[in-house]
Amino acid sequence: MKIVWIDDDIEIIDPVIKPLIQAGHEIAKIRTIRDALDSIETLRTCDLVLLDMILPSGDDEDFGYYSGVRLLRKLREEYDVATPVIVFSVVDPDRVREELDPLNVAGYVRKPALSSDLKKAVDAVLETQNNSGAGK
Amino acid sequence: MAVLMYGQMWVEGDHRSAIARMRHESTVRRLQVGEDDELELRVYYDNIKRLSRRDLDLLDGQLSSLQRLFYDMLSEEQERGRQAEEIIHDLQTRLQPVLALAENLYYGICRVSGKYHSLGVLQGTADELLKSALAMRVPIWNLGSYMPEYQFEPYSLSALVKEAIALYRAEAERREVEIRTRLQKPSTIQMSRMHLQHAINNLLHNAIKYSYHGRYDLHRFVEILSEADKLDHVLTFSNYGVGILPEEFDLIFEPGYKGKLTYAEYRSGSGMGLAITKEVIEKHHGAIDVESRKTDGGAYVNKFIVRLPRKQPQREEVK
Repeated sequence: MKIVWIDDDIEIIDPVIKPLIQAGHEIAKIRTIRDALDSIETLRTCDLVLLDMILPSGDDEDFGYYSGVRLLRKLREEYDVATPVIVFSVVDPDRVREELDPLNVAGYVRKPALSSDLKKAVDAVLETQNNSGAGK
Repeated sequence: MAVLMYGQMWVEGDHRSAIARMRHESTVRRLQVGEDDELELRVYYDNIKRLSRRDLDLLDGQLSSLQRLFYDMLSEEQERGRQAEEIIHDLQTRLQPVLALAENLYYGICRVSGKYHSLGVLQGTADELLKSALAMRVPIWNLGSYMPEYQFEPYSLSALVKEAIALYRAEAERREVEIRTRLQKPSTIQMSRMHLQHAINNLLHNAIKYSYHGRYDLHRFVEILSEADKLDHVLTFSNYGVGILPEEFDLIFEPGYKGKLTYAEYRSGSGMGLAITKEVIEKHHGAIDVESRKTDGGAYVNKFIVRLPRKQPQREEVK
């Protein structure tokens, strides 16, 4: 399965994705909101997106502190990206839940998390996708 | 636990510094670590060391980053206005790879021993570390004991640079940034060693951290040049990195100021590092200047130039 991870702290990624790689998943990395908006087709066609809530814009535009929420809203509402999203972030879910609920978030894993817990969440979402016939 | 474990590694290593040892011992005292905890720490460390040199090196790099943040947080007294959430974000982000590496290593140990145990203890340890750090933050700042008084003695600038490189080599390799040096000898001046080390560490770490992530097809490097003229020793830290706008050349040394381009790229950092660096250099009767030039390809060449007098004034003149 192809997973896209949107997170600016790319140096944290390698040890965290090891169990996912070992399970045969392919991981693509995106660092900024600008890069994400330049990769809409990738986000549309992948199987799952892991999304941080605090992201750099990558340009002059100010997306606010919880910039990941605004990015997800854009993806859902303006770009018609329906790919399942797991929010993988330090941010307390309760701080953003109200804004995220209408945006069809498939799961929430709070950093720092065990890599195995992240993999469990990913497996659960992908299994649901497959069972519902929406898997690619 | 992660910080303590890292400190243990520093103390045991054959090329580690007295400053690191002092920091570690100070942390052990602050956290009131018992003998049993220290023993457990040593057993855990020994097991990992036997298992995998490469993974240990990776963990070492991550813990180095965490340790730096931890100590900076404790030392930056003027940073009290910083949003607690930003501090938590920085700490927990750095704990993430530590936890993942520890888990990967742990499963490696389990494979060797054939016994698998719950990993809840690791997560609990990470949470405890964070809570301890946050709980300690205010009282330790109030004590103001992290940065001691300036104590001047003759010491080599090149040795400080080498110490900084040893500290950040793993991070540079992880970010695929080459560190080049041209260090002139002799470079001994009267200095307050711990303070100047802190300043040089900060300049090198910034140069590594704010190198490009590969958007431009450039070989990424940090160059540290040490030279001397009649009056001064001059240290220049250069990189291809995220640029600094001309109107910010003075502002970036103001406490709490975050460069527009670096903040747009990273959303991290306290904005205190360069302010502290400038203060330390001025205490040595030196000066720091910045140059940032956009190249034809769009990348910036940045230079931080530190001038330190070869002959320091008599100590009674230093306030």
